Amino acid sequence: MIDNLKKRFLNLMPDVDYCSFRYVSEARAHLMIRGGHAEPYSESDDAGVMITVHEDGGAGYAATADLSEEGLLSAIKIARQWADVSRNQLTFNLKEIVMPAHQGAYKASVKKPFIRTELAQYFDYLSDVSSSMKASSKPGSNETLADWWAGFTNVDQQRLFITNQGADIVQQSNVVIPFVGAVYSNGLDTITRSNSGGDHSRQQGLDLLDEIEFKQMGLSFVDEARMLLNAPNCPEGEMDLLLDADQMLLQIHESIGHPLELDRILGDERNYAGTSFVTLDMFGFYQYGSKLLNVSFDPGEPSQLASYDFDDDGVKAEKVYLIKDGLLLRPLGSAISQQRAEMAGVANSRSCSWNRPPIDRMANINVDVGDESFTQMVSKVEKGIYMRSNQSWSIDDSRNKFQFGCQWGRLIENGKLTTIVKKPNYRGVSSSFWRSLKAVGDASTRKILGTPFCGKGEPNQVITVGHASPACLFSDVSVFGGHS
Amino acid sequence: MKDVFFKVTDSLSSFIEESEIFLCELKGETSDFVRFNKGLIRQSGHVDHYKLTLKLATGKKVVCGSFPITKDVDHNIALARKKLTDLRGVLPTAPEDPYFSLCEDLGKSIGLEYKNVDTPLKELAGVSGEVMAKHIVDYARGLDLVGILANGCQHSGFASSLGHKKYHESSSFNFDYACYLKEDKAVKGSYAGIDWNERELEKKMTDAAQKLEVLAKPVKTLSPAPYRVYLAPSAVFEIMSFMNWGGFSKKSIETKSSPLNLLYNGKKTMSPQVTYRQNFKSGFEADFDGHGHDFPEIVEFIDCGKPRSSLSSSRSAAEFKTSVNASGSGEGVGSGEMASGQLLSKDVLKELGTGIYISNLWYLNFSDRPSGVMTGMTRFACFWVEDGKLVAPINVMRFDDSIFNVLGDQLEALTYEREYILDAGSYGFRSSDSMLLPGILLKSLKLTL
Repeated sequence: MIDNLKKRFLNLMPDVDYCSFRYVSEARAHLMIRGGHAEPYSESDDAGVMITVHEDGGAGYAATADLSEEGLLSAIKIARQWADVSRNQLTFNLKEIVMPAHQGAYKASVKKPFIRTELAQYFDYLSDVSSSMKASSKPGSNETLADWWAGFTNVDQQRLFITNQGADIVQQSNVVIPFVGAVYSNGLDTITRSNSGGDHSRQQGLDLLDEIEFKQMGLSFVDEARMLLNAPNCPEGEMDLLLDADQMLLQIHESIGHPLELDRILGDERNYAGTSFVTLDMFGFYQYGSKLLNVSFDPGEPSQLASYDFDDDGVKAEKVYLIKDGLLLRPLGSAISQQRAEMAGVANSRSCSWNRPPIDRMANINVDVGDESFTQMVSKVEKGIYMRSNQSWSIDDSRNKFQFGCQWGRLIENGKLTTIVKKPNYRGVSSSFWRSLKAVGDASTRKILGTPFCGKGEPNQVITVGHASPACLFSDVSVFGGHS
Repeated sequence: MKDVFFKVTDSLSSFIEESEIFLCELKGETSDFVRFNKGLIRQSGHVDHYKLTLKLATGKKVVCGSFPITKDVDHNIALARKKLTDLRGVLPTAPEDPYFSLCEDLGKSIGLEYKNVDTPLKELAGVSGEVMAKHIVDYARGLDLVGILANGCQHSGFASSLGHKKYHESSSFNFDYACYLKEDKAVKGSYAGIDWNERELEKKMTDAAQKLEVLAKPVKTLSPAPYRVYLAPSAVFEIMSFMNWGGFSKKSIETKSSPLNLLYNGKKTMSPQVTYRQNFKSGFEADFDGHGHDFPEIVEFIDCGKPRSSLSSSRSAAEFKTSVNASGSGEGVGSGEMASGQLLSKDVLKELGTGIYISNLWYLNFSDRPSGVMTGMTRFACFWVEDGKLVAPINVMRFDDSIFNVLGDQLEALTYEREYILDAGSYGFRSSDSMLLPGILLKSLKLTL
């Protein structure tokens, strides 16, 4: 199929300055058991192509699922019409932009692929997890397990990228997105404990479920949700904050990843996703965080959600440090943004599918491990709190003033973990928060996580991103609880 | 596309076995998307995207598969039959779904329909996306304009082996933009509808330029505190869109996850001035689902501050024994309407007195979801007002307050005039959500950072 498409694309390649055919096909399977009942098995097959044309200083694209010769010719014509409309009306001088022309292939290894004919076994497994979660719930006098769920989505994707400059790239990935959670309520208050809608997603097969101890995770969520319902509210105050890897995910995402997107810094996202407190002149000079902070763009981390060899403009992907010893070094911008800004970036021009144009996105944005064990970090804290699992996230349009909430908190007093508290939240300002980083956990605290639901762009698109991090300790953070 | 869709489903009717039922949904669009930055074009193009979702059922076993289609009927029929065969292969191994139901009443069979909030049914205007883009570049000259133009046609269809045939098509443009002065100081605007009018666009660009002059005044930084606030309809839109995160969803209410739990369990009420409902007639979305149900034209959520109905998909209706009035598991309000109040727009600043005029809110989320406490940011042209006069633009501030204050105890007045806002979202497909909303004068809103 891929070879036939390649031949067809090359045969139809128009005589223009630049033309790319970006084909994406995706097979998605979703299974879920909620409240003890299976939802209908659903699968989706999607396939289409986006044709992008640069011609005489204008650029246009057309996306279609019609892969016939007629369909492709029609799309080429539409893309050229839009290139004509935008000629000499573009935000930047297109004639100065050079697009790459690499060849290559990427295929992630999949130990245990999803097999449709094994559907009954998958549902049996999920049913076992679900019924175990229900069985482990202990209804109290006024508290009940109001909801619980266990499921997963498997996404098998193939991408072909061909240009008239000679680019020829085939990439294949398989992603598993696990979902598990529980809701406890006493009529007045409700606690949800879950994997936050897919934090453990990885680029691998269904062996992921065993690796993350999926069933045990579900059981612990039931237990913790009930415990949290009866726990005291998180206290308010300035204190040290120890974030587990599964909240570091969100912290990195919102206040390092997004602010460093180069298209955002160049103003493209100001109507929707926003701008950034980071400006072009900061790179190479600005102390983004404490000297303990080292952050990389790493497309090669095995099985992480956004690993690949080439981005969707055909740029070869390599590991690059964005922040080293706290110093801001490199933005997240690919070929077009790099040339617009006249600075080096990374291979991060990505699209969610065939029907959206590529834009600068995060991929795998990871914090390096440090040398302190979890116990060592706890022992350093006189007055503080340990938080796990994101619940809520909000940040201003310059990516500065944020407020994040977690599902689970535990006070740290005089170097010891003490009371479990519910509804822990904290506020801060990105431009100073990372400079309050005072300890970084070692490899034993590191988790390879990510989210399949990062939204951005106009028109909008949701994409997978990876965030691997150890636990990290911050000083003097404004912490508060839920409504009393 | 309607004929293409029904030819495919007619073909499936002769392909299924006696014990089988199929349900087939179409969702699609043909859309131009033009992205602007600095008053010029950043990216421009076109997307043709049609998706068929097929459900195959025998008894209580049901499986679901979707795939893309084109305008080629034969190609689509082949794909549909292949998918049906695939689903038939896994159906015996699928678990039973106790909440699978469909409406056997064939109900309304809607023909091609155009929807427009101002005029009941109209022919398409003849202006293309290319012409709209050229107008925007022309009239935005000199402005640092950033935004997105979406223009085209959206399709929804439903057919079944029982004989259902429903179709809905709506055409619209939506130009969502912001004009920047500097840094984060900008005026937000929107021009959406069916009939593109060059003069209307020119007026909006002139209006934006005038508002930028007010934004050029020295900026005021506020301290965290409660403040008297006016929320413009576009800010209210953010709040009511946020309440679509399970607020009115039957499933969320029953599983105690709704942020409006306290309203629906009788522990709290809203202000008696608040009446909020769904009204399909004023919106752009289809009023049928993928199980054969036609939705009632009106669904009342809040009536004079008191809770009324919620939104139930086919599944929730079966699970919680209610009637179907929503499509999809999200159970969100797609054509919202809030009743107007008595405060005339021309008197808003005078009645506000001293406080904050908030044009837009941004990035709302929950501080405490079960209690209805939410947080978010001010954004774009928000101003400090003294004695009824706009004095200074403000630096962005975070608020943290309860929905039961905002639509309850702290609500002082609603404006008489309302604004129709067509959602500019486009995750997956262009949104067809819309809301008709007044502005809200609040006695107090807590700003925290």
